[in-house]
Amino acid sequence: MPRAVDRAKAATIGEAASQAQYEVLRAGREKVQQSAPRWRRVTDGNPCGFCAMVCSRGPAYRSADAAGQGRRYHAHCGCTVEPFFGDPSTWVPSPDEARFIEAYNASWKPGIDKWDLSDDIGAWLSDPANAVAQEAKASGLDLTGINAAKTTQEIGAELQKVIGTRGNVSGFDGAALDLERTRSAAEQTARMFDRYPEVNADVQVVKLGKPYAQAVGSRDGYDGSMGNLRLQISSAKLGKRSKVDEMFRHDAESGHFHAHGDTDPMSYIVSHEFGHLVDFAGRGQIAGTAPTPMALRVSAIKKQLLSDEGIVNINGREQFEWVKKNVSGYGQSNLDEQVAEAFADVIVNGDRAKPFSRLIHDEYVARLKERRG
Amino acid sequence: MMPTGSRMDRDDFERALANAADGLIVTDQGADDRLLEALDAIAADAPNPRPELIKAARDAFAG
Repeated sequence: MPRAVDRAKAATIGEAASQAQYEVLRAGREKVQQSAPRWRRVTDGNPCGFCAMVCSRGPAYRSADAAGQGRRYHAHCGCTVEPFFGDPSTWVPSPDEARFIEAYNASWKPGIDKWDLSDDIGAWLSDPANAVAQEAKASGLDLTGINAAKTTQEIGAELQKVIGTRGNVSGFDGAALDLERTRSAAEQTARMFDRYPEVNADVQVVKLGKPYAQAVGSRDGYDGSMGNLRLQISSAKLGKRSKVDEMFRHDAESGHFHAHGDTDPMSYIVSHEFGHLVDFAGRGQIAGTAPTPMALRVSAIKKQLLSDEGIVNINGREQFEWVKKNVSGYGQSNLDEQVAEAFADVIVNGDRAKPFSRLIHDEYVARLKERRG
Repeated sequence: MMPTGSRMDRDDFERALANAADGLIVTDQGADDRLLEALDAIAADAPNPRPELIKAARDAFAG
């Protein structure tokens, strides 16, 4: 567990890199009015144990300063403070804040000082088993079986239990598959099935050439039945000798894929492929040569964003460069991949996803909901 | 999805062609918009795509 020296070291790591982010956020922090009777710390979604501890207390602070306004407690700290109006007892924690409260309750013991407590909270939050239990509480999605599986075959069997009759799971029994990488892919697949209930698909670990993964659908159209769509993940990329982590890090650094923070590559890859599956299910961009209503909406969104930047020709070189900047390098392949990259961005980066990604994702979700009635 | 620098080679293209002729749409093959459109047209014409569509796909692959 990190102690004072480690904490001091951690505080300096990335200091320079986080300076720019800090300057941007400081302007917002300074604008916050001082008139609110109570204040709370709001984290950036990936706080250190100390910020999580402060945040877990909710609107308990009588001043912005007491809630840590303008102070960074960890490198890349994006935490801010917010006023809370009204009775503090009416504060309702967000799912993230509920997680910090649970971490606090699990870590607190009589006599513990705040530094040891924040270390213990940080350790609790980074334990995958706690994250799984918390996720089950928040969304009802139970990943306990996948999390506890001891072999990749068991992981496949547990994933099958989670998705039930919405698809057949196969190929998880290969001897060369890496346990943790396969677990990560399976967990994210389960999350995607949970998040997009309109999509039914088989999940297959198969031998592929270059791709990390791919989605397969029938030209006959998506009718929601099993076997109609397939999510295929490369067995080599899931393998024990796979270089997917370093390849993917390089790809993200070069802008080929969206930046993805601490999210592991397999989660990003599965999120991207699910974007394709939702595209199939939504009868969107991927649905065929004759433009569907959804495909036309995708084009309209892109056209509008291009037009906002004075780009008229949606097939010209400027739009190609625009895609690199506003979608990703990989999105330059074709419009299908731009849709899938939009999904990966939203799933991995949430509210920090790029405008194109959020607009496309939300349009698909709205369309699927409409069809569900 | 494909890693940086990966491009569709001849074997990949032949597989893509066979999939399209079976009416299957396969993502992440390294196809650009023009080739993708040609493959889509073949898939829409499955199971017996017209020769001119296959020729168009071969032309698109050849660039």
